[in-house]
Amino acid sequence: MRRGNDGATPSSWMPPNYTKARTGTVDYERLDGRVVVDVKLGAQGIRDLHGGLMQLALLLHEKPNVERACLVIRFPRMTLDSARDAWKRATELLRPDIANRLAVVLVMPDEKELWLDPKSDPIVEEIAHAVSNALRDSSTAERTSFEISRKFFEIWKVLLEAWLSRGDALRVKDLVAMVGCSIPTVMHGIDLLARRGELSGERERGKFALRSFPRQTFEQGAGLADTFRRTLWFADTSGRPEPVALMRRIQRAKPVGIALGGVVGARHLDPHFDLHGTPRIDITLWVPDGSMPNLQFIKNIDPALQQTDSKDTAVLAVHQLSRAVTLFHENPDGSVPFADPVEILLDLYELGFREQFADLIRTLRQEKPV
Amino acid sequence: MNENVDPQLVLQLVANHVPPELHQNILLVGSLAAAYHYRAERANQPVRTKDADVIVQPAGAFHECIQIAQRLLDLDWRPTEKRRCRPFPFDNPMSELDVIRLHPPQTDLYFIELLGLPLPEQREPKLEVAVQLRDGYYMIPCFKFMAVLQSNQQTSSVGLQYASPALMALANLLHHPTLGTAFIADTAVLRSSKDLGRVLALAFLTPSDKLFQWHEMWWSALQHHFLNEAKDLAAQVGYGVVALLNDAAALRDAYDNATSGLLSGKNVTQDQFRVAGARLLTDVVRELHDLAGVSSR
Repeated sequence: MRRGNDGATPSSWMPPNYTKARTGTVDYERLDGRVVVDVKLGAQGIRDLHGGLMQLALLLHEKPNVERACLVIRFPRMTLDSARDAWKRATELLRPDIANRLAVVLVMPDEKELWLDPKSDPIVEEIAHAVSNALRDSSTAERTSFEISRKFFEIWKVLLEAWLSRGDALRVKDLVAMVGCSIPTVMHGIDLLARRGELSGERERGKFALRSFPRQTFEQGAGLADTFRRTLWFADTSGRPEPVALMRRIQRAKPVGIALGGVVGARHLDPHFDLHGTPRIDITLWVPDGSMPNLQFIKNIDPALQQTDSKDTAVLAVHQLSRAVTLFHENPDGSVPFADPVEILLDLYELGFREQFADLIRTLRQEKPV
Repeated sequence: MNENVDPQLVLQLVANHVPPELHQNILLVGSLAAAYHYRAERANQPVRTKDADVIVQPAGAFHECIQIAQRLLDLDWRPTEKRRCRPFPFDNPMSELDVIRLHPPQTDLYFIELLGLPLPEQREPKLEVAVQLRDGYYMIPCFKFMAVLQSNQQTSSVGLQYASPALMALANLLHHPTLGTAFIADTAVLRSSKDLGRVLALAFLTPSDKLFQWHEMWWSALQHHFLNEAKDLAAQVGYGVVALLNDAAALRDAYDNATSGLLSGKNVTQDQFRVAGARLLTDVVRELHDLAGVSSR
């Protein structure tokens, strides 16, 4: 279920005659509106199955023109027999004119096996085929060495941003949209965080949030951050390195797709941020398709900047962000936006400002109303 | 050969040697003024010049030029010898007339060179005006773009006025929209190379927070002194530097001049010098073009 680089919606893994649903109650619908599909790959138990089924049943009741409503559901911790029995018992309770229009595609934890009901319906087979293809694609490309992969890193950063800002727990589809990856990829990430005990109890309701600051993953992620963020370092060749002047040059040039992070970003988040001076400017560069960025804008900021392998001599660090949604904090005055707090924390950590890093986490968590 | 002099000392001497009632007509320009302004950035390094360029104010004040020169001669100031300064019996041909360069009575440490301030109607980049002193005719050069030096004048600790480095840079940039073909006398060095190198040296010495203000000063001065031409002149600014940066030989000459002058003792490399030029284009010239509503080519 890879998401296209062209910014296509997740419906791109569905057959071409499907699109994102116009109503919020289901995920996808056939272009003629006669088939709807709801996807719940983050289901935890029978309750999720019942909830999904009832939602589709109500829709079928209200929309007699819909001839098929299909639930695609994945249970990471249920056997096929249990899931199949639960589905059958539930549908037996429904009126025949509703139950006969319902369908299910059960995705089992190993994702090798799908169970369909009804089995011989071409519509359901088409949907199951799309699900199967998407799972196979993602399994080869994304599941290999998934632990602390770049995609996982992005999923985790989005969850951490929500935790720092005391935002709502996130649904799988939220994470899919924000990170720009497939549903299975998100589920793998969720599973990994769950195994590490870093998720809160929100998980039971199909929403995911971090339990607390995920120290274990953070330290692993921070250690690999230069690689995952594909950080580029730039030195000042003028003979007079002045990060503050560089900051002003960035504000003047206002390159598209960048945000300020590092110490400058930390001061934005916390006006009492405890550090004298600005040793380096950190910016986050949005490269949503993950391609090699065009770095011409660097010379446009300051012709004195030259790429270097030595981070110790760098006055500018450019960290690349490849997820679908930037989470940049735009400034009303039109000046260069700020990166989200997680990028800023990673910058501080990389700079070695551990005390300030810890203080900023406390500040971010305390200043927001619970 | 020029010697190294302490710019602060020379300003003190000029203030002492020139009668106080003439101070109001005097505006110091050139490397001495720049070295004085940047004495902190240059760590009080001496500067290799003996030439105290003096513009006589106000604009078109040729009568005052004559009065000042005659008064100094009456006070035993002496025409320079190494740099020719002799009277000519006629007011033409202009090529025979010397610029007025005078040593003070008791020292050869410096000399002043008198320049005129152009009238607004001056069209020529350089106008040479013949003036008659008691012993004959001399010449006062008036550079059109030095008109901008009337703005933002600075006051030295000894009370003498000197030109703003930002506007000295602008005057040079306006005077050299291209490298041109004029050479410094008896050398193979382009005049533009030396003057534009001076601009880069000024930019290098200017702290960033000040450099970021140059474009506003430039645009304000252009509008004030060249109302109808301001936009066209703004559009030309910077292309001499572009040409300099693209001409290895001219850049080398510019670097050599700058590092033996204003940048002496700063250990500036040629790469850093080139970067100072490129930065001037992005930090100041591009901003000027934006302000003036002209596009950077």
